[in-house]
Amino acid sequence: MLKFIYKNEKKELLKKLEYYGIKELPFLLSISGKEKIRAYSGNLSMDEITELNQQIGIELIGAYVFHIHDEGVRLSFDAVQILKNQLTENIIEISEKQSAEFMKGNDILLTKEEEQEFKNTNETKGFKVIKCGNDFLGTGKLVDGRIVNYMPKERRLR
Amino acid sequence: MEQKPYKYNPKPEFEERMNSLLKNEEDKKEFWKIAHTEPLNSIRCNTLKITPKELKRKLEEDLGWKIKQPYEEDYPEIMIIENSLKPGELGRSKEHMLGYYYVQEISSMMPLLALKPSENDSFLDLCASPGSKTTQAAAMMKNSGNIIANDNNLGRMVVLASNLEKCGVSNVLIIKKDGVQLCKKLAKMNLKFDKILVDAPCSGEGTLRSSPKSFISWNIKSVYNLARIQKILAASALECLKEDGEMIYSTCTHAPEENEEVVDFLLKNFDIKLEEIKIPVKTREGLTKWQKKEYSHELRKSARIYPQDNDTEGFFLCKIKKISDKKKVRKNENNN
Repeated sequence: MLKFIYKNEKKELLKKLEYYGIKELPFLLSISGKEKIRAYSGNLSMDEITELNQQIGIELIGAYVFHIHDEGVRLSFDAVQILKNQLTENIIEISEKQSAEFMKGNDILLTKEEEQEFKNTNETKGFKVIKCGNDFLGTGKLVDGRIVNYMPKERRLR
Repeated sequence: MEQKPYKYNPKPEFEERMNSLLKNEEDKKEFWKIAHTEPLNSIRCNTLKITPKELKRKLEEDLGWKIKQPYEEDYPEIMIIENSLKPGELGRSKEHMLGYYYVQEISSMMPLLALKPSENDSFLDLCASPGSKTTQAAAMMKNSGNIIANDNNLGRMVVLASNLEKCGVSNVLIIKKDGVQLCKKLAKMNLKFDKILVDAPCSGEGTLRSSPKSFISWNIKSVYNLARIQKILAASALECLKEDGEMIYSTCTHAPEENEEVVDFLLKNFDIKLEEIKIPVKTREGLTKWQKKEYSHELRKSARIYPQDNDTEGFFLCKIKKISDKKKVRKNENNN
């Protein structure tokens, strides 16, 4: 079933996304599945898409961008690239070596120094954008000295 | 022709048909020689995520690949990896997983270069899976306008969705419908498009280099069957094209029944004209005669891509412009 996110809900979502520094979402947003938000950047209106869905049936709209969790909004693997120009907060920079492990789908264990560094910047837990050099590698969750990996299985390096 | 020590050899009927499409002995020799070699490793930079310059730097510095941009000035996104790679290596790199490039054969990039969808266009990709051309269109349209990407098979649609996701395509609606039925419904809704791609399911004679099993699976009956389906599909798509809109009809096969004959059928039934195709590879004019059949002289504007001309796979494409929604009444039908 097609369910759009309307103005007020979008405002609420934007408030949550300020966590990452995101200030605008120039997309038509819809919910697919369990709390999965998809973003459409095309020029069809909500009404046109609704009619198309009623007459023909739409399987998917736009790109999967966020997942809403109780702890906050997790950006999808590709959303961090779509929105990378807006991302300013809650970014964790990892090394090439850590990136190789992360791309395999493994969690990253932080050294005590790294953990201390995060504590100093109040980045103690929660969803974080993972970055290595200029590459945005999706989102992980910082919990008890490790970054939990959310890399989709089909995108992991083997 | 003498028997060659190849793993797969062409069926005599296919060999005879191909030979009659080629110019001379030298041309035939070159075609059959290249048909038994693996294709080049080509990729297309996904400009939705990275610039060609940055991707080239990464691939060269981080992976040690030797990158050639054969059409650097106009199409820097087209790249060839010149060094030898391990099987599957192209699809296993970090850059590929990040959606920075799409593994795509150069001739298969040509339909979109000929169609040139731009920002704010409405674009229908009728047989979209696996998504190589849909992702190319999205990049050319800078994720604006609107794309409807359709495929009638669930498995193929899943692959399509996954590739669109990987490339960060957000201006798309994915639909799973029989192409003819979809066009009927779209036409009924009066939803028409500026640009349409009908990259039709075909007998795949142009893909011998990447799928040598096509040598074995080829049979003339499927060529005739596919030609029938292609005519219906292309005709249905034209119903959804705006006046002055443009449509590319393309296949990865050489069979004239699936190419010129389909377009000739459209020319006889619709108020359309063919347009010159400007693409950066060497092409040959479409046929106006095949066996006992004669096709419109306009077919010369269609483009045949032969593997031996550019070191690519084989392809056919034709650019069609719709003049009006009027349908032509054929003389024999008028007399009845």
